[in-house]
Amino acid sequence: MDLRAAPRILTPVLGAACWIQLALVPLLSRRASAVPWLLAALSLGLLGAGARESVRHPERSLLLYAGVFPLSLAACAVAAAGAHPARYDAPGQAVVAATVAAFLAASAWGWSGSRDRVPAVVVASSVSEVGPSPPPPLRVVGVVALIAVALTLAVVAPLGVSRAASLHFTRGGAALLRGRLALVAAGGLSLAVLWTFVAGGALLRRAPAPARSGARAWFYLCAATVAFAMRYWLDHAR
Amino acid sequence: MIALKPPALTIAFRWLVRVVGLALMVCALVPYWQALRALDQRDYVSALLAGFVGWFISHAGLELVRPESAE
Repeated sequence: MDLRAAPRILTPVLGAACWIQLALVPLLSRRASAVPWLLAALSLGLLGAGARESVRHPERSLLLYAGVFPLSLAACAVAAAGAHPARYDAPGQAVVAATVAAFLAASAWGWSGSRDRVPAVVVASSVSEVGPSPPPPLRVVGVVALIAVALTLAVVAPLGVSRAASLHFTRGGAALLRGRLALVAAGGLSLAVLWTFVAGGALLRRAPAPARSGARAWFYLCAATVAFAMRYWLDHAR
Repeated sequence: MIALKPPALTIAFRWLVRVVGLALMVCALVPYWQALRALDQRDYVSALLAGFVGWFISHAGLELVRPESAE
């Protein structure tokens, strides 16, 4: 089964789901004026433009999906509600968060798949006579940073959380406190393991790595901004 | 093949990019920490989103630090 075309269909569908949840539902629920509706239409148009560009210009499509579309959604939300965004209950928030995460993952999937459509010049040059490139100058520092992040996630952060949490549990909550700490420690440990595998693989792999790309770093930063805005929005919607 | 040495400004820029990447990798600890705190407070959705923030920021840093393509 060829899944290469799947993100081209999946991403606009998930983007439309995000649009419904983050623009349409809030607008319908609070009788918004014309400006937010125009901004909502604009963001839908941007989503369509991203879908249209996904075949020929994947980098433009990525910019539209991960940069301009979320910004226009945010502008729409601000114009519609000011400082009071739509109120979803807890399961609703989980659904919205899952949809946004799936949309970002699908756009990243589409972008990573777009490398395959580049003409196969790389195939000839990967059997190069000049041999493998020397290790980069900061690889050791990168590995040290990787280990530091992993250790902090697995050990230091749960310990710090436990100190902070123990201040709130003075009497009679020992079992509850242990349960919470087990949860936090498990979360930190799994994050550390995941981080070690992915970052270690990127820093130490022997096979030719995919070319380092500033565009991908920008995409990650855009995605982090969107996730941060989402978290801020959800935290303040309660 | 003639190996062309890039100008000093290009080399300096590459170093700057790598240092920024390292800084991003370390800065990602803050949202990871917030994710663990939110998990501690049973705020699962907030923890998930803070984890996403940390994940994306650390990957942006990783992308800037990691080796160039081998070819």
